[in-house]
Amino acid sequence: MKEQDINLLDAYFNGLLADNEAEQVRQKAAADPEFAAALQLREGMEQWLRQEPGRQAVAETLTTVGKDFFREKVEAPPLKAVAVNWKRALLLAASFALLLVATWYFGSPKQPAYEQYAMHTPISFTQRGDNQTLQNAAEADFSNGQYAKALTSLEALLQQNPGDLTAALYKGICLIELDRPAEARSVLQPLASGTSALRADAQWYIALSYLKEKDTARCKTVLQQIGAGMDHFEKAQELLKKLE
Amino acid sequence: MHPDQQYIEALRRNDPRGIRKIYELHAAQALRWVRNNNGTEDDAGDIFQEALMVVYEKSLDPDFTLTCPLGALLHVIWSRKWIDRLRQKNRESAVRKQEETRYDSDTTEDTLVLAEDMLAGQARQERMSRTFIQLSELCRQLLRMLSDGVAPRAAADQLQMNSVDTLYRRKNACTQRWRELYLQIPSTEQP
Repeated sequence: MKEQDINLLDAYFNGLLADNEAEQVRQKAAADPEFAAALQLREGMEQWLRQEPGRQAVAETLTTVGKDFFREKVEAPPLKAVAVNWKRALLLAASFALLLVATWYFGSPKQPAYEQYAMHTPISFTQRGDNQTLQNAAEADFSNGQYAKALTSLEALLQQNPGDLTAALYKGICLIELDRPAEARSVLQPLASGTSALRADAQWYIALSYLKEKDTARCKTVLQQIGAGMDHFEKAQELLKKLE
Repeated sequence: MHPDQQYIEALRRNDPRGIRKIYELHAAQALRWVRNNNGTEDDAGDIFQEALMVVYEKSLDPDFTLTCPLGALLHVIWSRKWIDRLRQKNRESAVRKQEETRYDSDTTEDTLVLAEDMLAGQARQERMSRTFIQLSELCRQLLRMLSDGVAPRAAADQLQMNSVDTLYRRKNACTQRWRELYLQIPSTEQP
């Protein structure tokens, strides 16, 4: 493929062409099969990137739901009758107890827990409308830690206005609190991939959902995406250090 | 439109309740089939999830409407996937011959054609994925940020690049590298 065609496609996909120039690219594709194939491949790459967060969210939901339907049953080996040397057993038990006490006393550094970081800002809807009763209920229940009740109000709000980003964010938080992390991520992922002011909040809570599942690797990957200057950056860096 | 279109919508929306319903309706059949063909429960779980991902990929096509029962479609897809997996392990003969061709009474020629189309579509996505992860960390981060809608100036700042021009030059180089990696895959494997 010619270099000038590659440059033309770069400019096309970077949105740097005027409307008439973009139209010329499409006309060129209609007349030139090799150029058309290159254009199609680039479109496929752009589309793959756009769809990737959704794909990951679905895969996570499938993994979570699938666990309830496909569980390999590992059978415990049959117990064998063994002759017990009581003196030896007592000695072993004492050594084990001593080891436990020593471990507790000297305390190896502990992995950070979700609960240490799950300090939620209370809900505050910036736009009040016809849904004020639901909004008030969601705010009150969330503040009181009644996450199941808050979730019901938030879902009703989202049904009326699917574009309510605050409701979506707090729905995600409620789901994490209710031990439904995969569902939480599927709610939070569009926010985390978007450009709204809640982007960093969504990323932070996705990281916390992994922390709750003790999935350190994924938690770190998401924390690394919270850049300097974004909300939660300092907390993210602190948590990253603790996870090292 | 087939009534099972509701499950296609559930997958597209990543709706856990709808997805659970799909498992309730079809997971047991997948488990039985894989076990009958020398697989374990874990294998069945993997293959069923892969089959659902194949359907999910197709669900992203706004023009797609399901015209056959989802169960029959999934059956064709998981059978193909399982046979491919055994073929890779040179254990193809482990699949009972009759199981390879016998699906169920709902399986029509249209279902088989649709399943093949879906499998080809997912194979393209897998190639994209396989080659994307071969890019450098910087390339992956940059392409993801721009695709997520991060403004070019903000992306340049976050990636510590001097200007938006530098960012675009880098993006072009990353895209070109990705394209080369994709095209390096033997033509028989390409879409």
